[in-house]
Amino acid sequence: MNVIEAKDLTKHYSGKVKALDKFSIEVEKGKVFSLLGPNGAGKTTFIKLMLSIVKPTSGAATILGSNINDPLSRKKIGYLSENHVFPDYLNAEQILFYYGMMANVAKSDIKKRIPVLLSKVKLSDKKNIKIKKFSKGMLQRLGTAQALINDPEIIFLDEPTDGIDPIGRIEIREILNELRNEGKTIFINSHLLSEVERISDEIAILKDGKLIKRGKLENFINDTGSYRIKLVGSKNDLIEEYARSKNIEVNFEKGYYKLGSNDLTQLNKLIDELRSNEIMISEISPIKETLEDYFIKIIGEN
Amino acid sequence: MLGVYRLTLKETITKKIFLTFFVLSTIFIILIIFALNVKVGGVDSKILLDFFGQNINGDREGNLFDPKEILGYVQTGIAIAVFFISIFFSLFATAGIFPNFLKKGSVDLILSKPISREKIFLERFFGAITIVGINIFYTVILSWIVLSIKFEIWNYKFLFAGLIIFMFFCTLFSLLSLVSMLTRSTVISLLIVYFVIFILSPILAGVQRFTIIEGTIYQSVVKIVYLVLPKISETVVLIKDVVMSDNYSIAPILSSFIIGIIAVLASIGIFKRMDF
Repeated sequence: MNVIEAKDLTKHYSGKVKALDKFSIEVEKGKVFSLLGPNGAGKTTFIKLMLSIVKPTSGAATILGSNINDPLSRKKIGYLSENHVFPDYLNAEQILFYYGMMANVAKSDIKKRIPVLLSKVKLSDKKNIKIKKFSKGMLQRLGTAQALINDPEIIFLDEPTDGIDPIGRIEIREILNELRNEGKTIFINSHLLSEVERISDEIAILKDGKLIKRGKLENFINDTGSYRIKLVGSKNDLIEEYARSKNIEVNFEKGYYKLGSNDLTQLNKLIDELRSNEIMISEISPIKETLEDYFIKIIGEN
Repeated sequence: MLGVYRLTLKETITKKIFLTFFVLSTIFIILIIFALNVKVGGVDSKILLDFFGQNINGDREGNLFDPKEILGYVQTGIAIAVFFISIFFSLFATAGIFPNFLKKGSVDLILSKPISREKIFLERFFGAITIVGINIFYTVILSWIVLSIKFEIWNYKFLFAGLIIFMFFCTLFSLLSLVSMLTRSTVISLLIVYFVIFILSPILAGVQRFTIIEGTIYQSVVKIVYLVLPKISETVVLIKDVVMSDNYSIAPILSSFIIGIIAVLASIGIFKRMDF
């Protein structure tokens, strides 16, 4: 079942700037979907269109089967915007209370959910502190809690780990994994490709407002057909001689030999050769293309 | 659930200017309670006044004051003071309500909630005017009770003056909201509304009254501009007339209020089309 559907969604600013150009997409329930792209690609515009924060120039879209122009389509939506600003005269508990009220959550439910969410984002002990004293990471975690106050079915996150330290990122990733396990659909815009690679089921890449690639994560991080080998000790000529004799491309970089072959028979013969010469091997692994590699390649091609 | 309304109330209450207004109003009323002593009696139920220990028993010709007339003057003075003070400071305190709200990062989160833009605007609007209304009616009602007890005359029309003050503030806040929607700037919005109310409107009222500009076209232009602006001078006169006499026309406040409603509708129209 698709919970997000967009058909030819287009947004032109001031009649000239094409922020999004006939963008169509469907997202299945329970998936973690990431939208990638360089700055100005139209990622934030897409989320804003889906939430009626900006109005489309043309095209149509639905969330949970409701037209995006209907305010009730946002009833089961959570949203964390990039660089969000909360009223700084409130504390964490009050933020969740007021934003819960705005999300049409019953007062009794809000009161039950506030301690649960503050605990989830590790802000329970800071609940009475005015948020003007919060760090960027704390504000981001509070923003995440705010996005969950109405127990949403779909959560839109725009750069959720932007400006957060590595520990904070891990914490947010853990929260997202919990949400995925609860069956929530998560839609993420992010520049941090390593983060996206860790949690996404599906990915789409945007450039200049156009969709240039879309698919499951595994389609983006294929084996490269190469292996890397690390030997104990310094550089060894034997491995290079053997590889050349078998017409295998070989390079030595940062302590690793990179072999341009995915022929397992040849690889095993090489290992036999090394071992028969009593050369110690400390590591052998296939070289996989990272999402970052793929992203840079496809953006370059387009 | 009125979440935006509640948040706006909270935001407005945190502004110290309203608390200051509230405290000053209370001090003023306490001053009336202790400083003004009125004795109604004597020949023809005339009045003996004691203000800060000074006996004011009549005018220079020895005529005693009419208590109803004196009460009218006192209430008119209070109403006009509340009118100017509350309008000036309340506009100042509420000027940021829409520009702050429209800032990126802040408005996005609210627009993502399941509320229509019309409702968001109206909740924000009513949240701001509620606190101003409470301040105005607090001052007017409390001073009315104190003065009525002192003078033993219950002039209910003074309460109507309070309503006029509040309606005029609502009109000005509507204009402020419209300019805020167009400029998204607190300072510019406030300066424009102050200019319109305290400079342009009185000048045009004067020009209208004394026919300073000759010629049909000029007169027509002045008349049209004057008609579409809230009428501060005429509203002040209306407040005096409401408190002191039975002959008054509510046309100035009514026409101003209609302008306010049009400004609110225009603001909603603009807000509905805005991208953030």
